[in-house]
Amino acid sequence: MSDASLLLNGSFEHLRCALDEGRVTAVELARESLDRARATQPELNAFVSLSEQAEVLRNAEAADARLLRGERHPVLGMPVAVKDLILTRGQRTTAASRMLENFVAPYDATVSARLKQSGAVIIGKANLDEFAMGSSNQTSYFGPSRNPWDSTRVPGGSSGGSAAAVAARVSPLSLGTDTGGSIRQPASFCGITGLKPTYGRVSRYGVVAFASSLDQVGPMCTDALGCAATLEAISGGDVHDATSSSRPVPKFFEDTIAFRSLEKIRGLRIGVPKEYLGQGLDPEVGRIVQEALDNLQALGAEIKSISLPHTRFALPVYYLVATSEASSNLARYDGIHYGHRAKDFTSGKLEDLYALSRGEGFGEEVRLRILLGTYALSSGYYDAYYRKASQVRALIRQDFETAFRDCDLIASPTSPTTAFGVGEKTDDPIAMYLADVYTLSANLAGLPGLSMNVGFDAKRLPVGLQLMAPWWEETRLLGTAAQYQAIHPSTLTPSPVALKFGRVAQGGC
Amino acid sequence: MATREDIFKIAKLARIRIREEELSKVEAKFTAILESFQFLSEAETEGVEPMFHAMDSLKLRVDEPEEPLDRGELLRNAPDQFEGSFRIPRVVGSDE
Repeated sequence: MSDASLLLNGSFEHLRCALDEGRVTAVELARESLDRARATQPELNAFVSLSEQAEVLRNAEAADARLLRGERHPVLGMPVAVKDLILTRGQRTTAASRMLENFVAPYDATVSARLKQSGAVIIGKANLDEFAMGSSNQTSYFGPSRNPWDSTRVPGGSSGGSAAAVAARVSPLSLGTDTGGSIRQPASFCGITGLKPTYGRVSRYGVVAFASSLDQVGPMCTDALGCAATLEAISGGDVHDATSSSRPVPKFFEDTIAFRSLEKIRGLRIGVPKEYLGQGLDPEVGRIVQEALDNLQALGAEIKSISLPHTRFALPVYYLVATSEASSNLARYDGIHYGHRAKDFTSGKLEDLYALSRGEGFGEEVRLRILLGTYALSSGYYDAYYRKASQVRALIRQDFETAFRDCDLIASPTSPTTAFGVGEKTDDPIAMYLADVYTLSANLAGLPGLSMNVGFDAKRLPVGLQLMAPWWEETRLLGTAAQYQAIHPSTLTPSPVALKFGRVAQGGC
Repeated sequence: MATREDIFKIAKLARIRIREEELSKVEAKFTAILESFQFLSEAETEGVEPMFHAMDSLKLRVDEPEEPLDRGELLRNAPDQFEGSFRIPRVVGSDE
């Protein structure tokens, strides 16, 4: 077994040191990563497409040259999988939709460009729910991705391929996007760490838009330090996205290490909303999350019960806001400029060309959501649906403002259950939507949120803890997770698919 | 509550062709979702300013011309093109 293989099963920090000290090269890692991607594809279907081997190796060689010159960056030389919702120049970017089946990105998303500049090596485009609309990766036009802990189960969604790739240790890092939980819920299902940054922290330019006031790109990684490294690479203002914030970007990687060394969990006030522990929560998930809270308390945190009184409205508010924005964003797919155009188009009327192309190009869930959003915005229903939802959204944000006066973090389960079976819930949209019931509110309020593995249920499926912090306090999330992970390394155990490639590299730097 | 006619109307507004055989399924899901959202009306929102965005202010870039993307590269993704333009069905001077 090669060093690269051992290292991919170890921690991000260990891998970072090995690259910096020249014990492994970016080329070796990239090769191993691509090999694993190909080897796991039949079982996991984690990728829509892989980058061309020659290009991957060229980029890895360039990273090695930079490392040799003494350059240092937290993601330099790291293989990364990018959700296929994010444009990567010259590569196909499909949004897992028939609509964009053959779309080749004419430019890089800002996050892709920043990853490349930082020397990360993009190995492929990860599978997702079509247009990021789903919680199980089952709406992908390219077939569902599967969970590396149990391939009869879903990896979660919508960033399911990104989560599966990391959980299988194909790549130590991936990019996901999170509109209502699409990074955190699959991170939870796949036993990895995922962060949805504060709205505005990361540019959305070049990311296929779903719901513009909720969408945010974020890192998914084996552990919190990898997320910190990736977040540092992709964050910051961007002239091409008026909603990106120009506030300075912290040194997330160093700051997270410092938080861990200083054991700053001590003294943190962690609020647990009582509304997040009610009906629908699987008792085993509840028990494991409670154990994690006890562990945090043992590390010196103060755990307190809090209330977020408008929580019960979050689900309808989210779906009305998200579908309304989606109905507008997806109007651009017209069968004219790019994307699918209906072939058996005979009437000769432009109207029919639109309707047929969109009817064929969009899958069932996407069509349903466009219809819902169109309805919520339409004359006569706007006030009762879209406007009402936006008012309650303000109240949900207010709940958090009030809560964060008395606590530094908010903790909850990431999802009410562990990963469910492929084929389950596909005909019951409401049951599916409930998988995101604890994650939606952070998007509505624009807050940062993180999911980390804190244990396993009786079926050996991972259970995630969600932490939410006040706006712009990502370091507190990452630091808390990093310190927790240092003390509870069993939460970083690689999945069975990853262990097929070999044992775990031991030791730190 | 939405009727089948409503769904037809919305589908027309959204420019999405729904096939006849799909209609019952779409209608069932659509109605179930809307029904499950009805309790939203219980939220007390009198005088509450709606929150349409997560940012308080937007920062616009300086309005200066930039190098545009390459025309040929953009057209590569077009389903149909003719002499450097998108080709669409005739919309003027047709029979109707």
